[in-house]
Amino acid sequence: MTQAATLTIDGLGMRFGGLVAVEGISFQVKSGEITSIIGPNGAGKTTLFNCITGFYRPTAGRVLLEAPDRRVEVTRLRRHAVARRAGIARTFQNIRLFKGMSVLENLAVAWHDVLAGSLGHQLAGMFNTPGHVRREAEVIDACMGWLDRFGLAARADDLAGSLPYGLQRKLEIARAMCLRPRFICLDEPAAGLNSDESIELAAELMRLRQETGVGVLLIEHDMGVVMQASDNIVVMEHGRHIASGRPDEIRDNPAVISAYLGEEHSRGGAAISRLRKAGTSPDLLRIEGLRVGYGAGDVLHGVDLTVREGQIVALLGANGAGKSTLLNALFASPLPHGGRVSFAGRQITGLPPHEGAGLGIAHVPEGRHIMPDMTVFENLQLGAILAQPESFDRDLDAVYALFPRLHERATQRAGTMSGGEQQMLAIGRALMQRPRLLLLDEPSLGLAPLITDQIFQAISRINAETGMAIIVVEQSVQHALATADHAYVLRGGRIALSGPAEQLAHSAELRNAYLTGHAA
Amino acid sequence: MSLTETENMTSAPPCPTLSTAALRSAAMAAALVGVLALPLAGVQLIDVGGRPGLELRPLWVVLPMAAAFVLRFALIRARLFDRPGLAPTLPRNPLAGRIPAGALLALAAVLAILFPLSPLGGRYEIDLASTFLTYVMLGWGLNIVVGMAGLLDLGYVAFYAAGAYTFAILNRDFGLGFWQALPLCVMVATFLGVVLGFPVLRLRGDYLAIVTLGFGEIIRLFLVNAARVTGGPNGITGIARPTFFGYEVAARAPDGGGTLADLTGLAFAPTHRVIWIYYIALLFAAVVGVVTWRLRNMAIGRSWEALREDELAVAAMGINPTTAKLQAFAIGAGVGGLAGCFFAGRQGFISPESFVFMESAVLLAIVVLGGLGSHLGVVLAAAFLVFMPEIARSFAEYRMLFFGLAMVGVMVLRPGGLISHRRPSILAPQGARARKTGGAAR
Repeated sequence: MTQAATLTIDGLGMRFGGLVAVEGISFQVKSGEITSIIGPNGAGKTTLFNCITGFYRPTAGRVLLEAPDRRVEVTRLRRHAVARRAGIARTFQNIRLFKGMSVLENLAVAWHDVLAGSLGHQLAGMFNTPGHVRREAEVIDACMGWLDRFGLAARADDLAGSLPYGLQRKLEIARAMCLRPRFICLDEPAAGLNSDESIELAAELMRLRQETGVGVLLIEHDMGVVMQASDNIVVMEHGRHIASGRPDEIRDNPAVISAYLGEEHSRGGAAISRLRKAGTSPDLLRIEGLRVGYGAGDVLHGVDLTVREGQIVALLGANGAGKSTLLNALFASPLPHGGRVSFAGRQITGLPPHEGAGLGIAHVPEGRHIMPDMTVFENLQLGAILAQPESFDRDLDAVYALFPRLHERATQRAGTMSGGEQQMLAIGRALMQRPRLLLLDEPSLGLAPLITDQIFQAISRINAETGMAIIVVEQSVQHALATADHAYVLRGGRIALSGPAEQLAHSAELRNAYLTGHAA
Repeated sequence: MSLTETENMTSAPPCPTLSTAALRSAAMAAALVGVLALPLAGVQLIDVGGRPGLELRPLWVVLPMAAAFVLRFALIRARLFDRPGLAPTLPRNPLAGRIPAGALLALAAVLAILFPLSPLGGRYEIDLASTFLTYVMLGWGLNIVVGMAGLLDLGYVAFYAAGAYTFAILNRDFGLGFWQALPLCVMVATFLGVVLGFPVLRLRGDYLAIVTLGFGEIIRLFLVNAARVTGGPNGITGIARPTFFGYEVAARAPDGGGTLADLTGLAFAPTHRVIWIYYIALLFAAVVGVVTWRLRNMAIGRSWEALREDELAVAAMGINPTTAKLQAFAIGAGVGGLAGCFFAGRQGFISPESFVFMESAVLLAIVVLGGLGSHLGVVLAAAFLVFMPEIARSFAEYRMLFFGLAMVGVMVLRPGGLISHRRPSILAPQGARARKTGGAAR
């Protein structure tokens, strides 16, 4: 069906202001092959996809499509032209279906060029000419073929938004295939699928490229799918290409293992604080049997977790395991529909966010959510709204001592600072609330290694100096384990592994849980 | 999962505190209404021996407060106790499957054609029906922009005005008749839609709404101020009426031409013109209805609806979102121009006062009330919005109040609009449905 084609990514780079998201990426993929792009969160994988599919214009390098009938410089096309001119289709990390339209209509939109590609076709459609009726029937036929293949035919007339999560993922792939692409870029198609569905997806992808000859580019955190389906793997870290090769080569590549699990860090300070609180302090936060879902399916299936006073707890796990959901559920968004949460002996299940802050839980969400148009000082003031006014100066000094950079930039607009500085501000703002428990969601997301080190040093210091309990969700496993006292590993919405951080750091199970996806 | 459903889940076990919470909230609402009602309605300026004085009207404060209290309380209680399974679900389409849609449509067409000739068709009724059909036309046009493409346009009346003024000016300065000017009116409005659309369609949501709102006002102010061309606040009078295949529908033809009376031998009656106008409105509405219905079921319509759902995904489908938006905006504007031309021909007189923001608001209300994107919904909502104020006319000054209450009521009962069910533009072939039942059997 598809002619042999090659997609060459040549020295691709993408900067957002000062932040280098992707730098110097070069590799080649051929139609009929499955190439996976893996790497920790914030490695620049989705940015790379956005450059390949025309959603971003890269700041360096180019993407070239070569087929027998054409040679297209993809990076010069406008985003809507990429699908037609270069034959590159894509799906999105957070499913983007036309939810209010039927399943069949979703696919039909991909045939727009056939049904309404020219004024003649549009007029034919207006008068419903026999030619148009025939074309429409052919399109419906082709769509039904794809729906059949993905087991969706029976739901062709249902609203796309009414499908369960797993089927929505499949529908998005079917819709991309309806563009008759040479290459299809799938951004985390297995996210949110359970392990059976993931295995099925991997098999389907392999069948797809065999039967249609389409080239597949796959971003995926589920190592089970990656190892099973890939012909080639490209590993990225901090925007750079650190390794590539066949799955078995990648599995044993030390650079890859360290990218996923981080370099072995050992910090004296953390070890001392660990000795200081050898698990004897009273429970501060206790989560029992927490069940949470976003509608299409449960994300957390009964999670138990305890944080003691003065403890740092790391929450680890692949993307989509439910880590952020767990933190968010403490603040009732989404509302848990099972289980109990108690904080300092008080029931707080389903408490609205602003009341949670009043209790002494501060949340630094993923992506920071600072107020970009306000100054650094104003942002910190906001954090102190609930705190005692007389302690404001003292708290401010403490934050400035922790992050001298914030002091230097006190009058600067927060949005103009670098990613690392914004993260410092987000943590500083949370500290101004004088919480008893601090929730940090991926503090190192998108940060350079050096800044990540600084942030984690600060976390250790806060804990050591104030005895504040901290839950930290982190992709950089080694950082998290070096800092934390206790760790939990979430997989598929369940606790797969838990124990003292030091033990976990050396456990083979942890490595398996991350790199094979089928551990424990 | 909707917000209300989530709320229901937490409050599933009804505990006594909920009643207190509801009472408290209701009391707050009542207090708020009281604060507002006291200066607005609670005091009246009266004449005390030639000097102005104030009279307190306690009933005007207490009654709204009581109403707010009861409504708020009822609303909270209703929300707390309707759990997903128990919520009363209105039938999706009560007539679905019982009477074929084609037959219903034919019946409606026959009734609409016979209406002016029937005893029901008094002059006032026919005139009102023409107004209704104008709003249906405009509603369908705006429905493309707002309902299908999801572009919130608060200045739609500008295109209506453009159509009306184009005809009026062409008639006054160049002597063009209604039917000659009609295509030009549509073209001018469409062109205006493209010209406006090009810069503003990068904006989304509220920003687009504000810009289009401003555009509507600019057009109106232009009409008021460019007095040499538009006649200013006085408008343009003596616009030619639509002819009946070249024959004037009037007592006398202005320039010695034939009249309908000459043609048919019937003595001229003023109702003839009203009936003729009604038939033109019916024809236009039918054409707009068929065209928009076809558009809805075509690939273009699907691309518009996809645009409403997710613009990024539309681009990933190889469709240029800007082009799709422009198409929607231009076609919507064209329909506005058609209706505007008809309006000018019907009234014979236009002024900027006919094209105020209120018109845009009513049209938007028609689309939203009918259910975004629904064809039948526009008809029902237009009927509601045109006939309701007429029926309530005897209540004189209170009719806007009733009108508003009725709108609130509809939106509370049917938040998705009158017709919230959307039929897909294409359906799976019979074979797939056979598989569906087969699958169920397995």
